[in-house]
Amino acid sequence: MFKELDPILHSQLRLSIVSLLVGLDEAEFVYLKEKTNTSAGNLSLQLDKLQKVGYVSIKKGFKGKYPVTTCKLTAKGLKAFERYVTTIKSYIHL
Amino acid sequence: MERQEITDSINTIEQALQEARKVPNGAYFYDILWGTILAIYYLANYFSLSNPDAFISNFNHYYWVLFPIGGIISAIRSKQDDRKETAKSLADKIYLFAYSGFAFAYITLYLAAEFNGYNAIIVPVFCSLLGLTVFVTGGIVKESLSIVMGLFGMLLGAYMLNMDVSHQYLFASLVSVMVSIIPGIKMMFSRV
Repeated sequence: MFKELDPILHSQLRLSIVSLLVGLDEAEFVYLKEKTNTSAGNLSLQLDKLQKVGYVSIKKGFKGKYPVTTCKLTAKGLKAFERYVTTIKSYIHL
Repeated sequence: MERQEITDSINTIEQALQEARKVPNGAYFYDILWGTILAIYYLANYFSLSNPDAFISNFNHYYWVLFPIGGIISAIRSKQDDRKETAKSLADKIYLFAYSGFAFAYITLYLAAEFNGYNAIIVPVFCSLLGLTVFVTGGIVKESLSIVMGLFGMLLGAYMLNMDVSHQYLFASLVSVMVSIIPGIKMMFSRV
């Protein structure tokens, strides 16, 4: 019997966001938008979902005169990602 | 579970992790800058001690000025990097913690050694701590030259314990070049 994959992470865009953040200390919204090749609206929606479950923390601030949104993976998000990878591994070793 | 979905997820994770790895860190700049400052500082101290009548020896009370200059240049560079960067690599954080720990350990040991009159161990301890820091950070960011040079710094630090203070300064200058400047230049070209 296989474990269920985390439905929050089992979406290509959200998984892509979390995987990028796993390898980084923090990333700005524009970086995530460029690397995930998605629209600002969609990215914003997915980040909001990840923030609501506590996987990602979002900080809004300013860089000079310009507003900037910075995203960071939380400890809960990292654990969820590790669980997701472990579950995927169990699927591969069929 | 569809096999295709699993394959897509694995590909997504791999691609994202590879992208994240491409984010450069600016450690090379600080390595070269501080390595140069330290090398000049120790070399100047060596010349002052071994040639007290030399012209440069008149300024031996002002060599410390190099450190605030390095601090100002570092702060300016850090601000410039912050303005340009849209993502911060994990390596940046590793370097920040490692070198902050190094500075804290060195300053506390320096003060304790000065207070207790163990001046002869200050420079070797500095070299050992710097070597250790470069060794650990090199291991984490997989920079083999830093690992080797870090080891060399630690060994030279131990070897320097038997030297007089002026030669300790000369060797510390060499350690600064080997442990900071050379790995820094290599990182600049490979952009770890």
